[in-house]
Amino acid sequence: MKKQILYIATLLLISTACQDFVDIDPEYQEEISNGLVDIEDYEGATIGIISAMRSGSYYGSTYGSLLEMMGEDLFETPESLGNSRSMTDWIYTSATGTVSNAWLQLYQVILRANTVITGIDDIEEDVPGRKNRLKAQALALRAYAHFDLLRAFGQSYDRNSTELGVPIRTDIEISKPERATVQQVYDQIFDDLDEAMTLFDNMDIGDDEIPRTFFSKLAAQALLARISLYAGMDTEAVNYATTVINSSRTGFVSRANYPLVWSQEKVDGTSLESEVIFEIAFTFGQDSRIGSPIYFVPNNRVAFRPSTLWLDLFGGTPTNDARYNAYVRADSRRGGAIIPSKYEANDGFLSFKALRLSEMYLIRAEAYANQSQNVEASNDLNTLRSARINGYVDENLSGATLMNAIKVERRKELFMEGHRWFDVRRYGDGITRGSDFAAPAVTQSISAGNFRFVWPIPQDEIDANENIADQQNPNY
Amino acid sequence: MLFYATTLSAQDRVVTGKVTGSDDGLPIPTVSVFLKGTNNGIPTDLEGNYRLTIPSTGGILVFRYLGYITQEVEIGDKSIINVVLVPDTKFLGDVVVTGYGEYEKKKFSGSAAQVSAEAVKDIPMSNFEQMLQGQAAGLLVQSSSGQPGSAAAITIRGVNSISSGITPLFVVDGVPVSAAQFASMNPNDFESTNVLKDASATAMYGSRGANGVVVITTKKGKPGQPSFTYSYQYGWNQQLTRDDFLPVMNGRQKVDFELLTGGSGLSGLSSEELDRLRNIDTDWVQEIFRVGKLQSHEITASGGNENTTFYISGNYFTQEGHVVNTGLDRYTLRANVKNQSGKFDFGTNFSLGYTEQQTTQEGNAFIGSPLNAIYWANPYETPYDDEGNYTAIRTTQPNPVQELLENPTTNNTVRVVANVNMGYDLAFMPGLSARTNWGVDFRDAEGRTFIQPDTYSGQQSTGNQGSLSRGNSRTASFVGTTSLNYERVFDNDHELNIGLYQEMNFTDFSSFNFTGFGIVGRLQNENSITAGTNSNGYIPTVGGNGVQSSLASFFMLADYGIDDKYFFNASIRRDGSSKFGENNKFATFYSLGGSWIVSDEDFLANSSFIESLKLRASFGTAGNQNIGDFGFIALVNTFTGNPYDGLPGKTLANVPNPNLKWESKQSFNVGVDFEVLSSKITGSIDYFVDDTKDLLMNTQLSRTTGFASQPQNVGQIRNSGVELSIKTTNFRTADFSWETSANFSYIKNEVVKLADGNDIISGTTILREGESIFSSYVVPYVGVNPANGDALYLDIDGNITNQYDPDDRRVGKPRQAPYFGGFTNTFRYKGLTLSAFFNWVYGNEVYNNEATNIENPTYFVDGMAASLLNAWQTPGQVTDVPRIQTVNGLTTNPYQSGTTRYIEDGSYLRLRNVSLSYNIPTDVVQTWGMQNVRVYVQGQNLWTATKFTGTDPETATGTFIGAVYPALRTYTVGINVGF
Repeated sequence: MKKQILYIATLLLISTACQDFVDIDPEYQEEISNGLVDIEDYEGATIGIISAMRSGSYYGSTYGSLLEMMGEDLFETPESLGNSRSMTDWIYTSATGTVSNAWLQLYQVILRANTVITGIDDIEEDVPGRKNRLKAQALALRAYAHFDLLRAFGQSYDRNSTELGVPIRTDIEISKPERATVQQVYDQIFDDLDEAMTLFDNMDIGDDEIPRTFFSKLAAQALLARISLYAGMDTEAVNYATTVINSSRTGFVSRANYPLVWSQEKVDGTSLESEVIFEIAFTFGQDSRIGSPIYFVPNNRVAFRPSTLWLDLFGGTPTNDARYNAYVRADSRRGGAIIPSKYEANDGFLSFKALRLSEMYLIRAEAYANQSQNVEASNDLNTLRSARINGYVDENLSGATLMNAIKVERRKELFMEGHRWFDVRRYGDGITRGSDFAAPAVTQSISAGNFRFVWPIPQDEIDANENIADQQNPNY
Repeated sequence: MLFYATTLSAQDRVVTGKVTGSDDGLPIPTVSVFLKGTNNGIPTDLEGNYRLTIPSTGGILVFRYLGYITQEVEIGDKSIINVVLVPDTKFLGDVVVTGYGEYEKKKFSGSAAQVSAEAVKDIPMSNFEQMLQGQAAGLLVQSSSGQPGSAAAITIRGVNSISSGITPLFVVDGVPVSAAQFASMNPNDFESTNVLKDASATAMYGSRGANGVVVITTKKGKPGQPSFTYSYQYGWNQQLTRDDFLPVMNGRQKVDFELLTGGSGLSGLSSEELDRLRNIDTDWVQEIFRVGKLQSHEITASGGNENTTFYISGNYFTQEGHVVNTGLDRYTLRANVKNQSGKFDFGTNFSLGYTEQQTTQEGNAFIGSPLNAIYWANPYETPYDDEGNYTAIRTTQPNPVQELLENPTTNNTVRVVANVNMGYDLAFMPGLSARTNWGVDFRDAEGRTFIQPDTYSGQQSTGNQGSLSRGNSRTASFVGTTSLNYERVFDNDHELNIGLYQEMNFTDFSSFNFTGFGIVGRLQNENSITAGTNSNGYIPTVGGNGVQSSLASFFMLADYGIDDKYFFNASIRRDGSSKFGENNKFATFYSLGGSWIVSDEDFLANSSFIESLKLRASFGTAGNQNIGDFGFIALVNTFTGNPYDGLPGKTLANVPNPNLKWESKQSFNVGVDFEVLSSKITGSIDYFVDDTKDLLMNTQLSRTTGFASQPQNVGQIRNSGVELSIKTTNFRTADFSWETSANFSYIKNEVVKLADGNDIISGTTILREGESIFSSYVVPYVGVNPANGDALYLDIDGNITNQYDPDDRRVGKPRQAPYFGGFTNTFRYKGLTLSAFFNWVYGNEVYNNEATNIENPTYFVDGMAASLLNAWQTPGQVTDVPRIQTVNGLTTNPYQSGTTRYIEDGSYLRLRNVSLSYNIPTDVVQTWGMQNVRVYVQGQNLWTATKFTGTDPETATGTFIGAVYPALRTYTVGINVGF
């Protein structure tokens, strides 16, 4: 600044001085040429990947609350401002903001991952293995986001489907990619996770030193279990789930302690962390709250409440199921109505539990069931239920009864965790809502295989990218 | 090259004399005195004296001075010639101030409008730009706010940019100043305001001229007896009630409505309780609006001798907002000093302003804004309960009174606008002078928001226990302009004026803010914040920002006049800006204009009809560099303030465009200035075509890049139009006169080119090639089906349908008014003056978003529009309000807000100001020891004609989002005393 004042004062009529005078560097941002140059910068860039997953268009709301609001387990109350209705009433179009924002946000996560993956090899490393850790996390999160895109926008979940998936991005260039096939997207996801696995094995720190709020090899294995189940790779799903379940870093907490999992800002570093494999941190005073718009805690606006359909899964008001009391409560201010209290603690500032141990049991049970290994499947179901339900008596199930029990258990266990909408699609089911779905929410049911189970490619993507213009999903 | 190359011969002799002005009898320095038909001339000195050597044959001496009528005197054998110059009161004798110089209107080929201090004096407003409303052709000032100190939106000749700002450049005494925070300057200090519009007038501002320039000169002292004035003003506004706003249901109607729709908390109440609620009918408008008062005290002193003049003023202005807990206090000081000593002159213009502003949020649709709560709080609720405590409103809607009274927001601003300037006449070459002007616009603003823990906002703060935020921002803009000017007359009335300029602009901005939480105790400052710990969660947030920008320029201004009839103005300017990358750091702007004084031609010399007639034309370019600062380089954001799990992250911030360049405007203007019928009618007509190219637009990217867009210079818009301003003396006798002045503007705006030709839809407006910028874009709503109460729309083929489909949206009228103007009638009878000033806009549409929030039946638990009482209920019922779904159990045909149901005609005609003043006769006041005394009464915004259903049709954006703080209807009385 002194430089500039001096120039004014001396009023130099020399054009080179002029050139200097109008060359100003940013003060509160860094130019890329000196902003991403050392390993510390890449440590920050890797944090940047996960931090983008907090967005309201990703786990902050869309991939958390919204996917549940789109199912039958929550119904809209008169307290709702109706801002999500285009999604929850299944009337979204390619112009719906929620859809296009999610698309953009997930590719933002991929961009941030690609920033690390494409740049880190050129950087000098201080501690051997540090680069491996960062690159492994970036690869795993790139796979994570590609998979989440595929879940919403891909035309099929089958491993070898030649139907349209989503564009694959592995660089940070400006380009206009077309959609890869579902198979190609899976290829990329598994390639990334394979490479990540190798790198995770050669890190500067042990995998158990990676906090639950960051992505570890354990989390990558859990993710692989989930992806394998979606892709119909039941053997792999069983194997990966087993690895996670058998890890010394996982285990169920007591029924008495289970509600505490949902009342801590984060479980990382506590004895509760064994329930959770990967949690996305939402820090008090720093972030938005999770659980919105279902229940916006500070002004006590409960826009959605648990439906009778969901409550009935528990059969009345059980005192013996730790989940019921951890997830909902009767609200005296609403005449005893049941409200979703799962994300009520700490003023709504709670980490989002993105990968949990119980999901691994449910994945393995389902993968066993798909292979008609009824005993193994029933065992997993029984293990989970025993951990949650006081006085539970083991059951041995098979066939449709077994499969239905797994579906019900997922709804009970993973309530408000962003699974229901994709589960319904994965099963090829439809949704029929109960009688508590009255106006202002209006749509009661969506049939199995309805085109809306595949979200539209956003219009603004189509406008900007002629290579994707004729690849819109059917009926939009 | 031109020289004063006069060869003295043996027969030469000397003529001397003194030039004075007929208006004040004082000497006039720097009058150009020359021998007609020769290069032989000299300026008068400080005492108005000149001494010129002439051939013994004599000749004719010409005396020329800006603002005065040129005189020619036959020398004969006289050796002393004293001359009294007469001010040019003719229209073409007006002076145009461009900021870099002054022009006799006659010699200026550009399009510029003047707003005199007289036209806007005593207007009880804190903000200068609002006073300009309707005062000049081509200048559109729209303010949607009556909040004291709030800024207005101002455009010159239409909207010339889509994303880079449309606000003109403001220049005060040669110092570019920010249009923000005009409230901290005292408009009474402004002597004249020149609105520069076309290329000839704005190209000299190069990269900042594209949106037009508003040049303000402050009052200067005059030599002679010092004069002192004292002015006092007192005003108050009218109390508003809910009848001034969109009609809402009363308590009884609202209770019954909720019971009808069902589903609200009232359903479970006993009939006694319901009856109690029915009998409560709170007018929330009255609860938060009041009669606000304003006062102003001002003293000025001016005077000086022939060497030094001064003008000083001090002003205290205080205005209570008509919403409780809002208002403005302003303290300003000014000192202008000018001195001329020998070949040097120097001066300083210094002003200091300090404002304390208390504000409430406006122009949003947030639940927490009290101005929204006047609609959304139910009429059966009360602000206070029986014990006098704030009522907790049952629908979780905030209590507007509590929010307003308990959560004060204040903004304190210090603003210094000052310059020093110095000029020197270079001895070695007469007519050559050097000038330099150094200026600063310094603004320091501190904002403070206290959120009381018990309020709605306080409950939403981190930790649910209120918050205190304080933020400080400082902007210092420096300018240094240095020039060499050469001015001379040669060869029989050839006038030449050339200036070479060099200018440096530098702006340094920095800001800092924090928010602390956990408010306890009664204090409303940092001592009420609870220190943050891991367990209490009251961790304060801290932020800061800073950016510098600079502009370096060289330019040349040249004016050439022939025979006092033909004039040419040219300019060329090269600007370099820190906002652009290497590829386009520098750009050149130019203009060329000419004017012809037709009335001075022989064929019109004897016309009894035409007094003055001037034709002018100009062509040229100007730029707009109001873009973000570092769009040309790839940036990395470090988010330390928003860490993940306590750890700071990094991410790519943008998609850079190294080829970023200026938006450039090409302007063409033709105009005529006329004065006819013995000066009874004067006026100007202009026609212009402005093409703005290389508009900076966000070109859409494939979202798979992780970004939505990249800035590129791709757009193009055209503004063309006609401006007319006219002033007539309708009637004049010795005692009585009636004058009218009026201006009219028509501006046609067209979007010529957009990125990839794609429409840009934002909310209910669209940018589309071939249409006006930001035209309405909604589905036509055609009424209600009497059979079933369905809302009916027109589909794109013109068929009536009950299905709302965004694909059926149609382009409507522009949001920016294409026609606008103002007119004033002034009647004078002896010392009495009555004037009435109207302004109007016509032909624009506005979107009443405010109405959508209280007509959307799904929000029935909160305050509702009275119009819903007319909702369809029974088959056959003819109404314009559709069925409320929950009432009839039909769930199809949901409520839609993006329809023509909420598009309204934004035209209005408003009696902006009526003023009656009386100058007490001089002989009377002199006996009181005074020179003049003037008393007046005034009314502001007394009457408005409009079809708009909301509170105030005036809008800057074309959308009434919500939380409207309507314009004040204000009455003032005042007195000005001169000593």
